[in-house]
Amino acid sequence: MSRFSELRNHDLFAPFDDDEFATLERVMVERIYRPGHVLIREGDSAASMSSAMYVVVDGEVEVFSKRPEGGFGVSKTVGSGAILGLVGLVDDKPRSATCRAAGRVTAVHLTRAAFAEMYRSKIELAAKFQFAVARQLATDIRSLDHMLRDAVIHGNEAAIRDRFDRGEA
Amino acid sequence: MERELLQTLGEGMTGDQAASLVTRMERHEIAAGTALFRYGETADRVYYLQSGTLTASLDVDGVRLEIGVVPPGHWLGEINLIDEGPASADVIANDEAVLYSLRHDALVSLRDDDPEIAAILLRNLTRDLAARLRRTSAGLVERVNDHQFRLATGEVRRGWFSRAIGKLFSGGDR
Repeated sequence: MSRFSELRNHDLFAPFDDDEFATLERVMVERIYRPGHVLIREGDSAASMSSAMYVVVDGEVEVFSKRPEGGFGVSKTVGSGAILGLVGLVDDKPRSATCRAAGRVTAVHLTRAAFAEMYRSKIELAAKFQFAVARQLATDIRSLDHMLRDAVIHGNEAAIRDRFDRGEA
Repeated sequence: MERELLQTLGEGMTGDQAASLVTRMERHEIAAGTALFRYGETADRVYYLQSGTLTASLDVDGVRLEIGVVPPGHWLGEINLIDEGPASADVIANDEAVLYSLRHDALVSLRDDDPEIAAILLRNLTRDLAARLRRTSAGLVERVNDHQFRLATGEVRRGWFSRAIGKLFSGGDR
């Protein structure tokens, strides 16, 4: 039984009508992952046709990056609705963090190959999907810009670090 | 404008497609000292600066903080094109400037009327946004790590301020 319909009101999918959503359900693959499964590994290339972006339907995923000596990196746990690996799929650059299933996780994914096929055969849907991706990136940039601005202007790095540590950033 | 488009956000389009996109854009001429937009105002379009230069700045507790000078050939407002949210800085023309803009509504119409052109534009745009997201994220981590370093050693690393400011308002690489 597919659980893709649980994502109907997700920000990424809200712009699509029911027919388009049904097409996306056929294009995106749903899988259940065991605890400890690594969906994305930091440093891996995202350029291959099997590279994918994921949307978590259910369960928790740990997201973390290597810490420089004495410094800090990203470390958080995300759940239902989280989008993983979107940036790598857009810009082909190596993955910036590792995403590992903390427990049993249900997620849907879209591979580069599937997107390329959508681009070839359903250009209207591909354009709409890119718009939704751009919107997601814009939201993320605004949120980080806001924090960076606060850090530079108000010098509140400690508060930002707390937000990172609480997994809110 | 077609030629500039093909080298930037329209990379990968045919000449006809770029020309068609230009017909959906608006041309603007603004005088020296005029604000293109102001911080916090709702902005709904992306601009291409064809000639002239602009200065981006912010008012911080009554002090004007210059973020950077935008030279010709740059796009600004990519995020506003997508989300129609508030402008993130005051942007003022230093001299007479000529710009082309594409409104959010025009992009939505383009997506429905000519999805192939929209798809190419959005592919290039999302690539720029992804690069910017990586830069901002790296800037934030670096900033907080610098802070930790200062706390630990009492030293200030030279250059952190200009690096951080540069990342705040770094335009696209295109």
